[in-house]
Amino acid sequence: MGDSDIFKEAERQFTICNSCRYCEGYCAVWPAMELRRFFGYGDLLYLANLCHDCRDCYYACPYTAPHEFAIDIPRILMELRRYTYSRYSWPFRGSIVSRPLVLIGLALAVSLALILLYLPQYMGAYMYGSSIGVDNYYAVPRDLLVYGGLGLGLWAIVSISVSALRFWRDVGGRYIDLLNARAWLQALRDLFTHRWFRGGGYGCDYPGEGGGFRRMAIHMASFYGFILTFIATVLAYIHEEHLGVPPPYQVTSPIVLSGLAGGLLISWGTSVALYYRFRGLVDRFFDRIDYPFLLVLNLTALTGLLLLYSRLFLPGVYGFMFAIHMGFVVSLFIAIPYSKFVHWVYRLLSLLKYRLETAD
Amino acid sequence: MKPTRRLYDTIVVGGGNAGLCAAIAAAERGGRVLLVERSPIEFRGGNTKYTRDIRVAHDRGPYVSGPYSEEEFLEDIVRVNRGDTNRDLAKLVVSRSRDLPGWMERHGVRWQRPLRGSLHLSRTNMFFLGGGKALLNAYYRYASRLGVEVLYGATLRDLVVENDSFREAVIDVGGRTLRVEANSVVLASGGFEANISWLKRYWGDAAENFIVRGSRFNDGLVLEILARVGARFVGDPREAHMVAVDARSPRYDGGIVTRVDSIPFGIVVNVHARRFYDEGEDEWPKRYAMWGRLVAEQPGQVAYSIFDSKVVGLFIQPIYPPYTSSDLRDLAVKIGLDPDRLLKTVGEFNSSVVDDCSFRPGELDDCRSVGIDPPKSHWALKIDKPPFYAYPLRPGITFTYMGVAVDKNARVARSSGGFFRNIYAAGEIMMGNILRRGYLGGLGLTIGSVFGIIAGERSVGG
Repeated sequence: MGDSDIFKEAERQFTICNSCRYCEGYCAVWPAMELRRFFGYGDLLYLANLCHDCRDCYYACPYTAPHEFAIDIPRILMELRRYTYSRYSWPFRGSIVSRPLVLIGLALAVSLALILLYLPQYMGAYMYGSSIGVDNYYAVPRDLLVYGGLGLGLWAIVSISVSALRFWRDVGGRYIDLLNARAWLQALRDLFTHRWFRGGGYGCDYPGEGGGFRRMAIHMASFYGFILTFIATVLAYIHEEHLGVPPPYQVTSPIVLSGLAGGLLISWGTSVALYYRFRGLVDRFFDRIDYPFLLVLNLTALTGLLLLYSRLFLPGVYGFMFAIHMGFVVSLFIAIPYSKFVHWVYRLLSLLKYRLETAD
Repeated sequence: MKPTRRLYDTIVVGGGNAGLCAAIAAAERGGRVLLVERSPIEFRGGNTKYTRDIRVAHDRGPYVSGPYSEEEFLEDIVRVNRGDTNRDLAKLVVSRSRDLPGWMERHGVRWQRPLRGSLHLSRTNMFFLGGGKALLNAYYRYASRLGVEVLYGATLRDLVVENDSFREAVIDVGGRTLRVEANSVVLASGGFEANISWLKRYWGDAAENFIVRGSRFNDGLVLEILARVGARFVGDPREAHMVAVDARSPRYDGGIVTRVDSIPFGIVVNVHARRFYDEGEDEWPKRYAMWGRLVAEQPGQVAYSIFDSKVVGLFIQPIYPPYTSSDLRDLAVKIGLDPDRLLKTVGEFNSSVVDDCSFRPGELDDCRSVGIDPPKSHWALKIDKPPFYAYPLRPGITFTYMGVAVDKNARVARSSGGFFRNIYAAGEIMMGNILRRGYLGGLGLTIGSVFGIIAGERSVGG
């Protein structure tokens, strides 16, 4: 389907849905639809990104194919989301990674470059070293890590901000509303509680009909896991930079514990999602842009856990693990504007818009 | 797909709400159950797919806006029937309805929470989450966990009956004819509203122009079998729930989205461009069910709801775009009416509308016509602000009321007196015991659930 066909098809389907409204108890998409009589470009982008792909509405619909109305809201909204990610990516509009090898290749290339560059200085030492301590914690120059990390973070922030502002403008949002603290609090609460993964108390029809709260659980695990690893990274930076406490940190320290918990949560959540995909357990479709992102997130977390393991029990390969983990982190961050990673930005803005337009 | 046994405790015919309630109730009491569903799996569930709420007696609760007593429920049933109902069975439905929400929840149905405040709640009816197909999916999942076998695309051809006892069912499935024995049979296969040639017996050629809103499989085959084996019938075969739908709707299975809600906001004319009934007679939900019949009685079974831009947005948009023009004459040409005649009708209507009134779409307001026949009692506004719009209307038949007589154990009555020992009926196929005219939203599911559960239990000796 061409882009304009996707919008036309979504408009056709929502016109039928708006005269039925049986799904209104499942999620925010339906009350938002009911506020509208016509479905223009911005309305459709907004509704698409408000959708959490729980698929309850598909299984509840009496008008899915082979019925001549051929309603399939989860699929058409998935197409619109893919359009969103590609259309609003910045810089280089229109790019979106749909092949896992691109991201994995990038990760391995970075890892290899680090190993080649720093093998003479660092790696050899680990082979004969007995433990990882303050002197040999960094397997690459520390400045490279700190400035590289800050640079990647800045890249992500700038890119996401530009995309977000453009999206907000196109869904008809006013910039002044971005300062509405009450709506932000409500939207963030919806995000943090995963409110719209609950299907109005029924859960999701994912991976198949009657999937219940599986989807919420794996998404929540990955979501909070990511936040925990982020917190761990920031804590570590503060400890070393401002409190003068250099790594490695104790396994029982908040830094390692939050990183470990985060890594385990991400690994579990993304592994289950990938398992569903590879076993063909996901009914109907699995978006092709979900998969590269899930895989890289999964490998980033796994290599992080292996890095910790090698620090504690296998110092001989610690240097290599360090380089490999960094490769995945770099790949994940470089690809932020061009991968499924950005989905939370548009979803959060759509949640914000929903709270703004349904405020009493 | 074929049955795994030679002998079942219960064969249930029809895989909609009533049939599933029966299958689940029988299987929960240890019965070996075969469910025979006429449609392929994609269209399973008959007219239940197009339901979304159930009428039950209740006190207060999170899913309703107030209490609805058994007395009031019974009065409502008696009122819409104008007294002509089997009171004992109606009472049974009302008193058993109280337990239905709990039963439904235990079998996987979820309720819809109020969206914002209690604005969207009904007082008399409870809305289940996701509507009828979600309810069906929950019941099919539950039934399959209980070991109920389901034959899709299977047609009951005949019942072998000796005296007052059912012996075996003759079933066509996958190009083969099977004979399956069972200790009892529950018939829950709906009415005959999708059988146009049957409807023509009562409606003449007019039935050719009916749109069947529900399942195309409700063609009354089982009712014919019941007539053959000597069941006693109740209800007027001409009575049916019929609403006005968009004339462009699919012939079958259009469901809820085919309805047109614009009628009270303008005028309705027939093919001669003449008005024929008071468009503002009463509150819209009450009158909604009348317009199907009114249109069915017009020449060609077609009519046009005509309104202007003042009222756009006051009602739910139908799925097909309205015919529209900035000029009434041009609009008439577009929908194939005589332009002069339509102009005259609109002119006469406009000059009959009182000037001094306050238009309030949510209630019976004082905007009415004076000195015109038929009158428009409420919401009468001049049709004068272009662009003008028109929706073409046809009768949309939803379900028929005639069915077989049953007792309080859901056993089917014989025309020669007494009841069949082991033939039960539930749902639309026996609706005529309780509902013979008029319409009460959500009552069909109540009757189907109560009698489905009773039939299922009795069929295994419960």
